[in-house]
Amino acid sequence: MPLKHSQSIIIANDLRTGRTVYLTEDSRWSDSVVDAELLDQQDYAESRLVTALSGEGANLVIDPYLVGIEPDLCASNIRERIRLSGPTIINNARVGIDQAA
Amino acid sequence: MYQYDQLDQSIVEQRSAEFRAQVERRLAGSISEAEFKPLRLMNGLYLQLHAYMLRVAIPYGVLSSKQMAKLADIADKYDRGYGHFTTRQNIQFNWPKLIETPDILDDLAGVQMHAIQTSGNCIRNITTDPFAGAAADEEVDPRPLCELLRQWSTLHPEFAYLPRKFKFAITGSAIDRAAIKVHDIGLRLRKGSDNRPLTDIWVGGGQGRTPKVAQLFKQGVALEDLLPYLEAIMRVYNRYGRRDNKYKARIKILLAETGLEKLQEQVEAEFQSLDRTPFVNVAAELQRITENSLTPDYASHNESGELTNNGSVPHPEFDAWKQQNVKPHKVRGYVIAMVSLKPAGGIPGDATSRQMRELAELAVRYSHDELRVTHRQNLVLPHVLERDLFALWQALVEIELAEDNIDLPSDIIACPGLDYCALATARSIPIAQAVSAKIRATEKKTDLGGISVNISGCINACAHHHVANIGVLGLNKGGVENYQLTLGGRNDQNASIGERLGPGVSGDEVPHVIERIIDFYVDVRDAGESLSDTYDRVGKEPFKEAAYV
Ligand code: SF4
Repeated sequence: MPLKHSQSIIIANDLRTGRTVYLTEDSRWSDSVVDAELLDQQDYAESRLVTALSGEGANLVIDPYLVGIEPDLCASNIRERIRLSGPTIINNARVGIDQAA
Repeated sequence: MYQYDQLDQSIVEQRSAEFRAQVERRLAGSISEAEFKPLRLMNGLYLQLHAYMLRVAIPYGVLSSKQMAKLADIADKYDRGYGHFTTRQNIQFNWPKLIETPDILDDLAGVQMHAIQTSGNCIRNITTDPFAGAAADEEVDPRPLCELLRQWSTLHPEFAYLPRKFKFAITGSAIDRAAIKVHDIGLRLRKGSDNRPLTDIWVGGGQGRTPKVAQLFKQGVALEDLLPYLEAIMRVYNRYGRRDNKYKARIKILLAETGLEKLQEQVEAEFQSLDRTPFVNVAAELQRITENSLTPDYASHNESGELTNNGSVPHPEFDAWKQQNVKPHKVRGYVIAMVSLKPAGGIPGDATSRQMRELAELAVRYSHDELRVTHRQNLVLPHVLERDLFALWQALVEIELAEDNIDLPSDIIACPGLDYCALATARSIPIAQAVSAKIRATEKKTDLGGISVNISGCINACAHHHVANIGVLGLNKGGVENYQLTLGGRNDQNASIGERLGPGVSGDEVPHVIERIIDFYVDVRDAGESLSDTYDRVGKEPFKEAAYV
């Protein structure tokens, strides 16, 4: 399938913690999107996805896939944007009062 | 409140040990994710957008203080210091780790709790009236039957792989606070002419992409026949329910495709032919459950003197809270106190560990050690002495849980939506926050009566938007969140499905549209008319005109 975006990264969930993780250049999984390897060639991206799927086989991650991103490391699709940046909920008054306590 | 016997306890302990072994095998790679996924789901462990999510069962929404305190501990020890109460009267933790989940299940088992059957195509947590056993208008206390059904449906070998998930709700009052008509099976307990309890069975209600109001399936079933009759319904559904298309697999579709009469005949034939041996002791079982349940000792609490507002000092905030959040109890001198988890601009259904812990203590002090979760994502202290109310209210103010908005438009049901849920098409929590922040001021100025606003983040309708007076459904249109509004739904004894109002709007517009709908209702309502009554009287077009300016 052709890449829809100029750049992609590979995203997955860490098996042990469930947290969102990103495939790095040296084929590790990092929980920080800034460590993600930027993939701009379709063939290369697909070969990296094969590497990522082997991570799934090695019981490190679940469900790796390619996500198209914009130059500012923001995903173009809202679902993926929220996956990358976490819940958008602000103003959590309840957490606020406990922190103040 | 029911207390586990040895068998109940061994079931939850064994299940926890079994899951620990399954997790170990998964981490060691001896089972794949495809093999593990159904096993973790059977224990309530989902994988969501950012993390695993653990859904813990709160059978029919009843919690002891000790259980609530344990949930607070779990929130602190394994999660991020809060929990999310759901429309199935359960609690969800949004950030547990797989490697710690077996420890969580052990902690839960220690207080007679578990996460069994909170997911999967099985009979899910049974829900009921959050005022069960306390409501002044109650005809029959539904809790013993709820517990009987919990025990019957837990690990029932025939019903572990149904065509689809299956939901029961039970009420023992004419005023339906359990939304029984939008469940796969809804049970209405009432007293027969000889004062013995009878059950009316409603079948085929549900929400999701094909919302349906249940149909009256069988009237006046005696308690001794109820379990075999329900078993017969489940068997017929299990046999004929569609497995080729998950969107057509619920019993509501089987009912629509088969027809009421034919389905009744099939169930009747099954009922007549099934082996009644396992059910001969139903009355004794109900008796055992009742005997194993702690009942509040109302008299002993009558002596507890607490700080009271005797009326000499005016307290408008307390009076407003009492007016809105306190409901009549069946025992003289007692009331039911509702605790809103809907602060203006807050996250519907969320409570911090500190709030949960404090509430557990308040329940010890003021509510015979008991709490309830409502399907509208609020909490209840079901047995409070009226003279303790002022002290209770003061304590709730301290922990910011004294919002006086029960059943008002800011008492919004919202599902986790796209901020957490892997199935979501749009966010719901930030929309709920914006709506409640906007509408709260109007509520304080104008008597709006009861108006339900429910917001779902996808067509699965976990927030019950179809049966809200004002329903909001979040969709994704070309990569952009878009919100469809419905009006005229109800989830009570006169349940009805709301009608789509018009074109979808952006998230930013939702609070304004809702405000205009409410303003229009206030302008045109007749005395005593609810929003849905007004909608039924004037029809969709005037509301539509007002909403889309
Ligand atoms: S309605 Fe959709 S988005 Fe909301 S919790 Fe249910 S599945 Fe998730």
